[in-house]
Amino acid sequence: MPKLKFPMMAVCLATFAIGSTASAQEVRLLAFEGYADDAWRVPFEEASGCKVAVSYVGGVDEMFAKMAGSDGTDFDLVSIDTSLYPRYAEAGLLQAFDDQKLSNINNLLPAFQEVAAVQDGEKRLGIPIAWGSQGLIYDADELSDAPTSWGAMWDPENAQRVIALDDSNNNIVMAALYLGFDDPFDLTDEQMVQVRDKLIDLKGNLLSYYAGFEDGVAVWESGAATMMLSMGEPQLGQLRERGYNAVYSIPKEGAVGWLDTWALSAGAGDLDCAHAWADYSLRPEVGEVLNSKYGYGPTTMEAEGLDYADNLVWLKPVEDMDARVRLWNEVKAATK
Amino acid sequence: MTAHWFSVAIWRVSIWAFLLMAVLIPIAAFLVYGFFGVEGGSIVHALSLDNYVEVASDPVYRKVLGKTLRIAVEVSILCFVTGYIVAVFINRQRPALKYTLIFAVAIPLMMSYVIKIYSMRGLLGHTGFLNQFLIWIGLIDEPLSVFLFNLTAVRMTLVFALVPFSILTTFVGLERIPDATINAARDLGAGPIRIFWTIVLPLSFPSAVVGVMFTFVLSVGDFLAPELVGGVNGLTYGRLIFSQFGIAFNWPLGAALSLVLMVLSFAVIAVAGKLSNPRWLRREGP
Amino acid sequence: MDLILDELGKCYGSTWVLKQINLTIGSGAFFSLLGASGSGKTTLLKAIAGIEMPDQGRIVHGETDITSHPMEKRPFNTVFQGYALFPHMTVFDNVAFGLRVKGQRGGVLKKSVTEMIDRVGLSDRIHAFPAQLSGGQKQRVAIARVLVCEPRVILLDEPLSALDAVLRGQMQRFLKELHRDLGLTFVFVTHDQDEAISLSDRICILNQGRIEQVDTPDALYHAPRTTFVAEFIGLNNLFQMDDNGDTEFGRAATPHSGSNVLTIRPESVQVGETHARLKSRAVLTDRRFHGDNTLLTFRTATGREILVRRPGRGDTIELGEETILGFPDCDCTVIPGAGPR
Repeated sequence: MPKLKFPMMAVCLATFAIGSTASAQEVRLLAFEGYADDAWRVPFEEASGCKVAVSYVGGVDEMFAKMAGSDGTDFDLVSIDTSLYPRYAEAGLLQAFDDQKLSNINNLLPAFQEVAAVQDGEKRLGIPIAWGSQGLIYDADELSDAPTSWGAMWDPENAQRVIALDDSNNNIVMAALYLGFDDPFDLTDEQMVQVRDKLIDLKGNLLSYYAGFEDGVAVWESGAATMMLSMGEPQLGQLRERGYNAVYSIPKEGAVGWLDTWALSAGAGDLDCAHAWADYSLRPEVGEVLNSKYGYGPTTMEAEGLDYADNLVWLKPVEDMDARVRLWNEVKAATK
Repeated sequence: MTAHWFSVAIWRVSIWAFLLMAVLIPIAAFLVYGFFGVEGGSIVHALSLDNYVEVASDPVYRKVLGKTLRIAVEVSILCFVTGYIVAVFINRQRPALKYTLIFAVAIPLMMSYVIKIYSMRGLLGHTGFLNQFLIWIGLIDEPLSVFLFNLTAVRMTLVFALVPFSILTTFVGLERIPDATINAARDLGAGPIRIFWTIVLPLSFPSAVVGVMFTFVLSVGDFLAPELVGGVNGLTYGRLIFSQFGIAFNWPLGAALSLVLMVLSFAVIAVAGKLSNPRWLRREGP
Repeated sequence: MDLILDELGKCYGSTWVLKQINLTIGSGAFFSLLGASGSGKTTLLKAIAGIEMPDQGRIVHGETDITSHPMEKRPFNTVFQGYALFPHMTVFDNVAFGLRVKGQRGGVLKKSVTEMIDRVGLSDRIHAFPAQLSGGQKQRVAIARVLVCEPRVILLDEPLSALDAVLRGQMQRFLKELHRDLGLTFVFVTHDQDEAISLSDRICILNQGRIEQVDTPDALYHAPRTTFVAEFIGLNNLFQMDDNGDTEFGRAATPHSGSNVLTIRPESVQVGETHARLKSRAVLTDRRFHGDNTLLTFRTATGREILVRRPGRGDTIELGEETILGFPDCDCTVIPGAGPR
């Protein structure tokens, strides 16, 4: 892959200067909220002597852009789901873990011991840490009938009370599931057009898009929403905390399921600290918090309240990410 | 003498080097990147016009650019008018109060933009101040959702965030008008309305137009307010650019899109520069 | 129509900057307000113009009490200190401003404006902006801008103070000619007594917000009524005189009751030979040559300094030499009731 460094360096001069100097005894995480909770970050720092620096992102595309933008040198570990391994591997952003440095690796449930998507032959590229879904959340106090289908998002009765995550892939997969397409991750051009029209159609019912976990809850609150294409289980807890009688449901068409992992950046600085953090994440008390506080399904124990794994459509690499972003921009630019 | 010459030379070289590094090279990089392409998530360094063709031909970009420009123009006009009214009001106060008020106007400029947007959400939202106020005065019974998540909210947020630029620049212009000039006009029989239109406005306009330039350039490139309070139709040109850089990782296309915005901004700055330096301010003449 | 100021007073806070101003400015007069800075002359002009509202008294123009009229309604126009031209307007538009306010348009307006600009000699600068004009040219625009409105009274606030000496002389002549040709009332504020004396019909001398004396330049010079005026206008010698007419140099011819001050101008003092009854021996301590005259400073035995002006190079008397100075009665002015100094 030929790279002309000169102009890029000019643009990113500042980023490089600040970002690429990893001091010793530090692990730099690029992660979604919840994966570096103080509940185990603080004990980890005390036990290992490694400082933890976390950058949170709101979406997988932003995450990839940040990794690719620095060739991975800005981060040591990145929390990516299984579908993204081909994309990251192709861009040369990953390196394998050393199992010798992972003393807790046997804590993983048998189903997560050797997930094909994160293995490169014998080499382990990823360590599963949690799984979850992107289901439908609704306010049971406001809706008389519990919605069973994604179609509720389009129901005129819910007009201006529906919100959706501002993310190309999640919306496209959701619409594809609703339209009954076989493989929502590999759509034909014709299916793409239908998905686009369906999503433009949805705009008429939508109050707003939102940009992350917290933002989704804030928009829900300030816009008095009653239904959302959620970003995941944590939003349920956050809404309930704010007094909404929110319910998490997987519609009959299915919903996106994902398995998040720690992947080791090709540009990682302190490999020992990075391994130490990934290993620490496999301790039972971490899985406990991930489940109880965020509602995720842990990979080291049976999940509490997560009985819908069979209804999920597990995330896979998509046919053409550029086309999906283009489609999404077209949807967002459409006037409705 | 030699040492002096030497230090002057060092200063000059440093300043030019800084300008080169901070301004010219990034712009040049943008220009160059616009001619590259992307394949499979990686940038391909083969020169082509594809990005510019896409920018020019894709109706999505044209449409969004049009909408963005319209919002920016509307926001600039609103900022200009409200900024003017506020600046005139402040300039009329006693000196002590006057400078306190101007300082108060400048404070929000030091606040985070995102915080301002979120406070607008708090103000306009379902449980926000505006709804509570309207319920309190009995105009409505139930809180309304119509104030937030639309383009009006975007305009209001941008005006709220950018109007200090207008107020400050206009105030500087107003303050520079000597009392004697106003008195001279009154002395010749002019009433307050005529004085405003023929003396105060033209004399303060060169300063005020700098504020308009700020509000236009800042609002045309903004992507946060449209995203956070704009609802489903909040896609603006800045957000499109952001989506190419931050989401699609298509930097070349993003660079090509940015170039359009950059050229537009430079044009606006050039026009504002002309307007802020009218013929009458210059010494050389006919 | 005369302009009458009746018991005018103005205070800032608790300080009276103008007090008991009673003045009648005759129609068509070239009337100067003369005083040092802080004397209240500019405040008085501003009160007449309507920029400042007086706290006491009335301003009457002809039969009309205009005290409460705002400045835009007064039939006066002002030439401001520093000109206060409209910087964004050309010479033409500056001059046209007042007429446009009055509703004049088109050809009539153009004719009067170009005529006026021609009159002040700026025809070739008609499309220039103020920033492109010299000080003297700006001054002419300021005057033209006011004249074109044909006011009854023109108020001039130190109009020449920013000009150099040569230009100043030219502008003084120009103002004098304008006044003669137009027959308008000029109220002229200045701190320059030479300017006031050479231009004015009448001068009002202000001191700390009060009127000291209002008179013709000649009377102010030769018959000052207060010691302030006697010292303020020109150079002067002042002596104390008791109720018998006795001074330190002998007894004066005309005794006045009470204690008074006797003044004599330097050019009236006799040197060397004198038949005056008031006389004193004195030593020459300084000599200053002014071209057409020479100013001599003598010191008497009592330690008093006497100023003497002689035409040309002055008397052939050496520094340090003693001579006799005489103060002829007929050249002395008595300021009654001036009290001991």
